Amino acid sequence: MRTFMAEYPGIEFVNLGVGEGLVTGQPTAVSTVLGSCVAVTFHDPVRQVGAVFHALLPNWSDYPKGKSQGEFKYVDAAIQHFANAMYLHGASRANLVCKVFGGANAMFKEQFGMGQKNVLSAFKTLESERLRVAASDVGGDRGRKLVFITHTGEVFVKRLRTQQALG
Amino acid sequence: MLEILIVDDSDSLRFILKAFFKDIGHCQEAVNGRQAVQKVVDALDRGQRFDVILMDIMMPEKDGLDATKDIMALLNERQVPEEQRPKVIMLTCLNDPKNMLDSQYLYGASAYITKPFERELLFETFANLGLAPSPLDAEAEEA
Repeated sequence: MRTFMAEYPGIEFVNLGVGEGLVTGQPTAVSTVLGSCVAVTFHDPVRQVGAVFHALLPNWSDYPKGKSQGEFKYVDAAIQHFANAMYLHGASRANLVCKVFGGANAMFKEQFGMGQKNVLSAFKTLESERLRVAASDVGGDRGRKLVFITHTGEVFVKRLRTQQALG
Repeated sequence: MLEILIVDDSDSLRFILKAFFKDIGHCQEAVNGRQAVQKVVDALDRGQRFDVILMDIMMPEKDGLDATKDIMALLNERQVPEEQRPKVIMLTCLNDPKNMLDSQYLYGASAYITKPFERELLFETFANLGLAPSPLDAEAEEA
């Protein structure tokens, strides 16, 4: 059976909560659990630098009262932040491989359509940043557990049985 | 072994994909969406099924989005249980938000890969859709 410890000896493990993200050049397995939230991964295979965030809401400008809070909560602001963070870590736009995950249909009426709005924001913001989406695994009615291997760019996803009250 | 349907009007890409999968699956081919739908009908009529369909979008006669929609309607009509339905992976050079979004929210695709792509990304996507072993299989499901 494949295991992370066997495939990536010595790798560090980090768990990412809602509104959190990281960029690193150290081999790290970053895990997070998504419902209607979105995670975008960034990887430069040449510099072996990776970044990922877990955002809750589509666009920063739609929530003026939230501007004093963490920008990683918002898909568009988080993409801009982490794209720039990757460049500061030596990554180049031409090498960046981006992947988009999450955006499940929410169970609660007040969140109806939020998953799709989050994903649309991710796709549009990446396009405006001239970053190609290499792969996406979005939508559906089940949450996802995701593990991103920062130095290889691999992303492993497991669909959960139910969405529950996930991010 | 996986039963794989490769739908693409490029002879060379179908050839390459078949070579990728020679150790893990049995491949059938379709050169457009119309042929793809017919292949799924034929399989269902024989009591067989595909595990995964790799679907281009821009193809003659019927594009990959309409073919995916027709295949999903067919599976609904035949009342094929969820766990027996093929996973549709879009494999296309189109990387605009509308196609990426509509494929997965409106048409029923399970994942979307943009050309050009690395072989490893295909196998990673297979693992993520439960079609190949994943390191996450070793972990207890949290929900």
